[in-house]
Amino acid sequence: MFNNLFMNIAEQMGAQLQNTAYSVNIKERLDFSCALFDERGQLVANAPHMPVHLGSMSESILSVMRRNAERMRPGDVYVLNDPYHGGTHLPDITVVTPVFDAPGNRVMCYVGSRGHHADVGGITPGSMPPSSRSIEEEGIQLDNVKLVDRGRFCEAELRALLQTGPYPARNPDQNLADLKAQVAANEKGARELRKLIAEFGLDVVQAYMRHVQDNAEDSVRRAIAELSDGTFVLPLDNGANVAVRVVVDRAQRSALVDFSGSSPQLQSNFNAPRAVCTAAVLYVFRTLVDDDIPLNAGCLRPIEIRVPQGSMLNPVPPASVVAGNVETSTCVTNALYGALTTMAASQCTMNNFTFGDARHQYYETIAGGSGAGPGFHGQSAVQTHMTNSRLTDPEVLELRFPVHLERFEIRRGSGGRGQYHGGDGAIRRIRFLEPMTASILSNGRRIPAFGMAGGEPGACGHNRVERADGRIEQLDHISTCQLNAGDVFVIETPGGGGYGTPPQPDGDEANERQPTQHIPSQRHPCFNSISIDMQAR
Amino acid sequence: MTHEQPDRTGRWQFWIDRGGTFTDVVGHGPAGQLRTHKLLSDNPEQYPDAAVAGIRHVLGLGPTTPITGDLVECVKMGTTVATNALLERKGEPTALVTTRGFRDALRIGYQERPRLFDRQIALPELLYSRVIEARERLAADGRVLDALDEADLRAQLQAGRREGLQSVAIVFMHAYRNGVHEKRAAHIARQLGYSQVSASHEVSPLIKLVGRGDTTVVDAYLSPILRRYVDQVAREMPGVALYFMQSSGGLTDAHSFQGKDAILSGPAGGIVGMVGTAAVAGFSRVVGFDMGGTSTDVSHYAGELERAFETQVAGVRMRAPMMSIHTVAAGGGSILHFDGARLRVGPDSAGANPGPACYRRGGPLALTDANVMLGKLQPDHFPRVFGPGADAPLDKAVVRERFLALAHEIEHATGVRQRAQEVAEGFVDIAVTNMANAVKRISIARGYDVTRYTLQCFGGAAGQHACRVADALGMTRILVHPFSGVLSAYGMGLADQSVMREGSIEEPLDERVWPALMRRFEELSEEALGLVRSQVAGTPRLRVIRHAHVRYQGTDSALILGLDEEGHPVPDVSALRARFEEAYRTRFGFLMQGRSLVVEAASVEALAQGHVPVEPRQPLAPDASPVPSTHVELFSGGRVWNAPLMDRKQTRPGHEIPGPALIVGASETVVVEPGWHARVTSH
Repeated sequence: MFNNLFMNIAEQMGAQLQNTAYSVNIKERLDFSCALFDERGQLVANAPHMPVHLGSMSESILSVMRRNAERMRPGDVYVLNDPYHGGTHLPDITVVTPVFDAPGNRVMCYVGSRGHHADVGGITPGSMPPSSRSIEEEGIQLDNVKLVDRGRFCEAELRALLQTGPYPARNPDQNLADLKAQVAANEKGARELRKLIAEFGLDVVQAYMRHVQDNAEDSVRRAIAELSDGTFVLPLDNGANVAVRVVVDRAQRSALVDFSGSSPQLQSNFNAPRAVCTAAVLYVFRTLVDDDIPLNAGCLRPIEIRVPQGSMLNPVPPASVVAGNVETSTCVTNALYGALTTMAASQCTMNNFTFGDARHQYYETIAGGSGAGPGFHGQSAVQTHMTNSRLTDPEVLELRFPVHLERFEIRRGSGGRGQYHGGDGAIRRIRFLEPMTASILSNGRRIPAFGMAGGEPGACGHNRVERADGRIEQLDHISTCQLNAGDVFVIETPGGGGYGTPPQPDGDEANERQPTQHIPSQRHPCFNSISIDMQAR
Repeated sequence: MTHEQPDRTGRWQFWIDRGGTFTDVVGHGPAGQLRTHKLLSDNPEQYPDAAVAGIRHVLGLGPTTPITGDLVECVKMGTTVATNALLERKGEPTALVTTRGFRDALRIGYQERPRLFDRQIALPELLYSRVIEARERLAADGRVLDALDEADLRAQLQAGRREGLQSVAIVFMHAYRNGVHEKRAAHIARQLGYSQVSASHEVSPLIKLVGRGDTTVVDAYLSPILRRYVDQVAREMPGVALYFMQSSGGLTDAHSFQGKDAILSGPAGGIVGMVGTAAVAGFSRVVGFDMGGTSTDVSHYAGELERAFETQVAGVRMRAPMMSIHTVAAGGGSILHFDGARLRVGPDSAGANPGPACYRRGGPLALTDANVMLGKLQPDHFPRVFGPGADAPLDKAVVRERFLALAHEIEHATGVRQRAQEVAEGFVDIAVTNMANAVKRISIARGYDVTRYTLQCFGGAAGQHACRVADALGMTRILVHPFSGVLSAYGMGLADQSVMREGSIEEPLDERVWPALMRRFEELSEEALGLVRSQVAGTPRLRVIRHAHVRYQGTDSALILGLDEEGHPVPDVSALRARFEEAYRTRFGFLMQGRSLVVEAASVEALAQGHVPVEPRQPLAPDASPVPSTHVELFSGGRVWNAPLMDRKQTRPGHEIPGPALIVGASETVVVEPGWHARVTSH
C-alpha cells in the first residue's frame, strides 16, 4: 500500500511539472523525472519517464545533502546540473527540496525533480553541441546553488548566474519559468508527504521508505542468483570502448559490476559522469526482474559498481560530457546485456537531432530497432533502454517550424537476422524550407548493434544530407551542417541485433521478412570513410 | 415514483445498458412506472440478443413475438459491442490510406514503449491490415503542394477491393485544415464499392496526425460492426425509434451511431445516471465510483459533463469527445497475490468464470473473497446462484480455509503473524488505496478540493468499499441511489439527444480573429442543430453549448472552456481570456505571464432534452431506525464488530442507521463502516 502511496506522490509531482513547465522538452517529450528520497538521500519512489534519470538523481540529492548538512533551513530549495557533482549533462537541471518536520528542525525526507531544459548556453543553441571539447562549451554549470532561500525565489541571483561565462544561457526567462515549475512540483510532493506523515506518523512512513527498498533489494537479489559471470567489450564509433565485467556471488546473491578496462577519459563529449553509469546499471538489473517491482535505491544494494576515476565513465573536470547521458549510456546498458548474455543489442544511440536558427530551436531523439532475445523478436522503430522520450506530432512539427517531414517510416530489413530477428530502425527525412543549422549527435554509424547466440548484428545507421541540387553528402556520427532551402536531412537509425542462428535464407523466412523496398543501401557494410560537411565555428 | 407525467403516447420506453457480462433493462411504462430486469449479455441457448430478450421479459411477450411501435415508443441503449470488438481486435478488416511517406506514422506514433522495463517490447496490435500511400501533399496552412494522383490511388484501392476489403480510413497530412484531397479519395473509394469510408477531416477535424489518424481508423474498423448490431436489433423491433449512447454522454439516432463515438457507450450512461440522480438528491458536486467485477471507473462532476478530446483506449489514441472516465483494473474479481514479501491486488481478474474462490468453481482468492472473509458480504444474504445446481450460497468455508493458509504462508516468509481477517483487510486496504489514487488523479491532481464532494457509488462492488474510499479521500458524504445496481441503464433514459461538432481554428486569440471565430461557432451550431432536429420527433426543447479549446502559445494541451455557462457570459476576447486564466489557475496554480493565447479548436454540442427524473419527496417514517433482520460479525479496523444487518426493502425515508452496519439490497450490499452514519433520503 505504501509503495502505491509513494508512487502516487511521485506521479502527482510529474503531472504538475508536465502541466506547468515551459519547455516542450518537458511538456511534450516528457524528458523529466520526479522522485522521493528518504532522509539518507536514497531513492524511494519515482514516476518513471526517463530511465537515465533514475539512478542518477540520487547522486544529486546526496551531493546537496553532503555539502549543506546543518545549513539547510525550511523553505530552502537547491538547484544543480553540474555533472561532476551529481548531474548527468548540463541541460538536465535538478531541483532538490528538503522536507522538514513541523518545528523545522529536521529533514524528514527529500523530493527532487529533473527536467531537460531547452537551452543552458554552450556553443550551440539547445545545448547539445555535437563537438564540444570541454564542459564550459556545453553551457552554464550550476553547482549546489540555492534556488529558494527560506521561501524567497532567488530570481535575480539565478538570472545573473545563467548569464555568466563564455557561453551563457540564451533564454534565461525560459529557464526560470521551468525552474519555478520544478519548485512547484517539488512543493506538491512535499505537501503530499507531509499529509502522509501527519496521517501515519513519521516513524511509520520512514519505516516503509526503508521497507520498499528492502523489498526491491530482495527481488533483485533473487534475479542475480540466476545470473552467471560474464565480460563484454562494446566499441563505439569514435574508437572508444565500454568494457564491463560482471562477477556474480550466488551465495551472497550479489554482483560486482566492474567497468575497469573501459577507455580513459576522451577528448570528445562521450564521457559519461559516474551517475550515468549508475543509472544504466540500475535500469538493467531492474529489467531482469520479471515483475512489477518498484524501482528504488534498494535495487542497487546487492550491486557493487566499480569505475576507475579518469575513465570515460568517471571523468574529471573539465571533460565534456553532453553525449555521455544520451549516447554512452545506451552503450553501457547494451554492454551489460552482452556480459549477462540477456539479449542482443538495441540501437546504441538516441540519434540526437537538433536544428535551429535565431528564431527556432528544435531537439528530438529518434527511435530505432530493439534487440531480440531468447524467445522474442526485437521491436521496430521504438525508444529503447535509457530513453522513452516522445516525438512531436508531424503536423505540429510542420506548423511550428519551416520544415517538411517527407518520410518517417520503419527501415525495413535493418534488424539483424536470427532465430529471433532484431527490430528494424527508422528512416526520417526532413526537408528544410529556410536556411537552418542542423546537427546530429549519434553512434552506431560504424559499429552495428551486436547479435547474440548466433544472431546477426543489425544494420548500422546513416546520416546524410541530400542537397537541393542533387548532391549527396554522407555525414559522420557527429556532424553539424548548414542547410539551405530545399535541402533534406536524412537519418536512418540502426536496427537491433538478432538472437539465435538464423534459419537458412531459402525458405519462407526470407519471404516473411519484408524485402528491402526503398533503400538499396540498407545492407551494404557500414562505411568507414567519412566526408563531413562541418560548419566552422 | 407515481407522479410521473403521463406519457403522451401511452407506450413504453426502454433504457438498456448492454455490458460485457450483464445487460440491465429499465422499462418506463405508460403510467410512469419503472421496471428493471437484469440478464446475461450472452446466452445464445436462450436468446439471440439480450436487449431484445430483456424487453420481451418486462413486457411479458413470448420469445418470438415482435416488439412493435404501438407497444414501445423508443429504446435508448448503451452497448459495449464496439468496445469489445476493439479490445479483442475483432473489427472489420480495414485499409489505411495515407500521405506518401507516412505509411508507418500510426504504427510508430510518438515512438514510446508502453512499459519502461520490459525487455520484450510489446506494442498494441494494429487495427488496419493494409496501407495505401497516396501521392498528395498539403502544407501546414492547408495549401495544396502536390495534387492527389487519383489514377494511382484508384489502382491501389481496387487492389484492396479485390482482396475483399470493405472498409477504408483516409488520413492525409494537414487534412484538418483542408479536406479537399480526402474528399476526392473518399469519393473514389465509394465508387469502387467500399461500404465504410471514414475520412479524418470529417471524423475528427483536429490537429495531430497520429491522434486523428487513430480515431479515423477506429471509426472505419468499428462502424461496420456497430451497423450490423444496430440492424439486428432494429429488425426485431419494427417501428420502434432506436437511440444509442455515445462516448460523449449524448444519445444519437441509431443510424448516425459511429464507431469513433461508441467506445464508452456503456459507462457514459452511468455518468449521466449519476449526475441526474445526484441532482435530484440535491448534490451538484459528485465523484462517481463505479466498481464492477474487473474494473473500477471513476469520474468527476462539478456542474458540467467533462469531456476529454484526447485520450488513449486499448492502445489507440482517440481524438473524439469522450466522457472523462478514469479506469483502474481493480474490481471485485481482482486476484489477490502474495509474492513472498508483498501483498498485491490484481491487475488480473478471476472474471465471471471461474470467478472468486467463493463462487464454488475453484477460482483464485479475489477481492470479493476478502469481503466475504471480513463479513462485508454475507453468503446468507446474497443470491444463491452458485454450485453445480446454481442454487448454493457463496462458499465461506473455502474462503476461510484459503485465507488461513495464506496467513501461514506470510508468517513463514516474513515472520509477521496475522489473523486471517487481518490478511484479508490488508488486501482491501491496498484496493482502497488504488481506487482513492484513481479518484485523486481526476480531482485533486486537477485542482479540485474533493472533500466538499459527494461520493456516489454504483456497480456491484462499490457499496462494500465506499466508506473506506471516502475516508482515504477525506470525503464525508456518500450517495447510494436505489437504482445503483442499474444506474447506467437508468442514465440512458436521462440522457439528452446530442450532436457534437468540432472545428480546428489554430489562430491567436485576439480582436482580429474574434468575428471569424464567432462565425465558425455559428456554422458548427447550425450544422449540429440541423442534425439533432432530423433525429428527434416533434418539437423538442433544443439548446446549444459552445466550447473553445484554448492554450498558451507554444504549449500543447488546450483547456476546454464553456462559453454558455449560466451567469458567465463570454461576449468578447477579454472575457474568454479571463475564463482561460481562471481555469488555468485552478488547474495549475499559476499563469504564464506574457504568453499569448491560441484558439486551437471550436466545438459545439446541440442538445434535445431527454427524460427528467421525477422522484417525489416521500414523508419521513415515524420510527427513526429500522429493525435489523439479524446481527452479523463484521471485521473492520483490526477488530470484530457485532453489526446489525438491514434489509434495504424494510428501510423507510428518514431512517437512521449508525455504523457499523450492513444494508443489503437485491443487487448490492452497502457496508456502513464504524464512524459512518446512514440515512434514508426522502426521494
